[in-house]
Amino acid sequence: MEEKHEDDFPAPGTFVIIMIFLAMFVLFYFLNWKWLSMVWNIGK
Amino acid sequence: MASELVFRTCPITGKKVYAVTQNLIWINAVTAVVFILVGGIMAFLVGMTRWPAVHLLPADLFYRFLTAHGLNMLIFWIIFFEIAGLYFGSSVLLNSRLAAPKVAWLAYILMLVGAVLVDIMVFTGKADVMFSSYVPLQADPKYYLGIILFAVGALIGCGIFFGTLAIAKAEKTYEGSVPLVTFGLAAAAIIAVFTLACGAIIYIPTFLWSLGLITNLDPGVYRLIFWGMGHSSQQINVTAMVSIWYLLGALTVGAKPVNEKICRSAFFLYILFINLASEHHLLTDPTLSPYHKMVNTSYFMYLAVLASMIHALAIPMMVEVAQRKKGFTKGLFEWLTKAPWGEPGFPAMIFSLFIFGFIGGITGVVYGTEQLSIKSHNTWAMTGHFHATVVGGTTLAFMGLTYYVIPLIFRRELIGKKLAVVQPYIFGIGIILIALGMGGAGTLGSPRRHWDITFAQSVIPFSFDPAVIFFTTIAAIGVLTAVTGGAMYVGVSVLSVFFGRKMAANEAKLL
Repeated sequence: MEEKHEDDFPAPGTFVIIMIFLAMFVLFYFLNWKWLSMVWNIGK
Repeated sequence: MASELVFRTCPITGKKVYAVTQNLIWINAVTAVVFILVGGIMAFLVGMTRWPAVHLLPADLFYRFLTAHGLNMLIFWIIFFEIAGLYFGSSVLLNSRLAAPKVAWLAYILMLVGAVLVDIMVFTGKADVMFSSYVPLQADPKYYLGIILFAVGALIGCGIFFGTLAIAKAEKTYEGSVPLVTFGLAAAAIIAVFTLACGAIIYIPTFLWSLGLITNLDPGVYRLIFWGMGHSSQQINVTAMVSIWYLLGALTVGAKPVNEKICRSAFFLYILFINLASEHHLLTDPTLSPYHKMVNTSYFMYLAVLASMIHALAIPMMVEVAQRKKGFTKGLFEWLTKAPWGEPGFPAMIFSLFIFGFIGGITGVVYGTEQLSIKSHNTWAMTGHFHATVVGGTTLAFMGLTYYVIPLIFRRELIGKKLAVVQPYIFGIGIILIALGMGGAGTLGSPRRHWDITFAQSVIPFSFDPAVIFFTTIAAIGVLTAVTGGAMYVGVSVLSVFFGRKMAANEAKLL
C-alpha cells in the first residue's frame, strides 16, 4: 500500500490541471506574438 | 414584533431568514431572470444576423437589438442578481436583520424604473448608441436618465449591504470573521461603488449634454471614464462569481478552502488592482501615454491576474481535498470523475471555472497586453473573450446557484429537475462554441459589432479568409445551443418559483 505523508501535496490532480492551464497560456501567448509579427514585415 | 424582524429558521443551514430579506432577494432575482429572457431573445436575433447563412435582421434593427442585448445582459440581468446576492450574503449568511428594508425597496424601484426606461428608449429607436454610447453618438435624454436611476438604485443596494454588515457586527450575529463568501461579496460591493461612481461622473454630464445644457464633451475623456463603469461592472461580476464558486463548492461537495487567508488576500488584490483592467479599452487610443499603458497592462494588472490564479488553484483544490477525504483517492482524477455531476450546481461551477479560466482568462491576459491588443482590438475575438468571462463564467455560476436558492430561500421544490441537471451542460457547451467561434473569426480579422461581414453592399469589395465563415458558423451553432440552455434555465426557474410545490417549514431537502 502506498505510504502517505502529512506533508504530501494534498491536491495532485489540481496541480496537473494548473500545469495544463499554464501550458495553454504559454502557447496562446506565443501564438499571438507570432501572429502579430506576421502583420508587418520588418527588415527585408 | 415589527414586520422587518419576522424571520424563519432554515431547516438546512440553521440560519435565520428574515421575511423582508427573503422578499427582496425574491423580487431582485425574479426581475433579473426577466431581463436575461429579454437579453437572450436579443442574443438569438443578433447571433442569427451575424451568421451570413441566415442574416436575419436589417441593419438598423441589428444595431438596436445589439444595444439591447448588451444592456440587458451585462447590466440589468447581472446587477439585479448581484443585489439579490448581496442581501443573501449579508442578511442570510450573517444571521442578521437587513438594514433599512424600505430603502432597499426604494433601491429596487429606482433600478427597475431605470432599466425599463432604458429598454423603452432602445426599443423605440431613440438610443441606437450601442452599449458603450460613445459620444458624439447621442441618445434621447431619457436613456441617460434611465442609466443614472439604475446606477443610483444599485449604489443604494450596496449601501444596504454595508449597513447590514455593520448591524451584524454590532449585534454580534456571527462569531469570528465574516464567511469567505460574504468577504468576497464585500469586495464586489466595494468595486461596485467605484464602478457606479464612474457611471455617475460620466453619465450626468452626458445627460446634460443630451439636454443641450452642455455643448461639448471630450470623446477621449468620455471613453476613459465610461470604461471605469463599463468594464469595472464586469469586475464586480468576476468577484461575485468567485464568491459563488466558493459557495457552490460548499453546497455540492462540502468543500472548504485549504487556506482561507490566501483566498481573502486574493479578494483584496481584486479591490486594489482589478479595475485597472478598464484601461484595456484605451490601449489603441492616443489618450494615454505608452508609459502609462505599459505600467497598467504589464505590471499592475498582473496583480489582479495573480488573484485570479490564486482562486483558480484554490477552488479545484478545495474540491479535490474534500473529495479525497470522502475516499475518492484513486489516481489523479477519481475525485473529479466521482464528483456529483448529476447535481446542477457542480457542472455549473466546473464549466464556469473552466470557461472563465481556460478561455476567458487566457484570452483576457493576452489581448490585454498592449502590443497584442493592436491586433485583437475591435475584432470579434474580443467579443469571444468576454462571452467566456461574463456569460460562461458569471452567468453560468449564477444559474447554478439559482437551483439552490429556489428551495433554500424561496422554499419551493424545483420543477423539471432533470432539465436543471442537463441545463449547465447545454449552456456551457454553447458558450464554449460561441467563444471559440468568435475567437477564431476575430483572429482572422472579423470585426465586432458588424452587421454584414460579407460586405455585400460595400462599394469596395472585400472578403475574409474563408475560414472566417467556418468560425462564424461555429459561433452561430453555439448561439443556438446556448439560447436553448438559457431558455431551459428561465423555464425551470420561473416555473419553480411560481408553481413549484411549497416546502414545509421543517423540510430539510435541498434538491
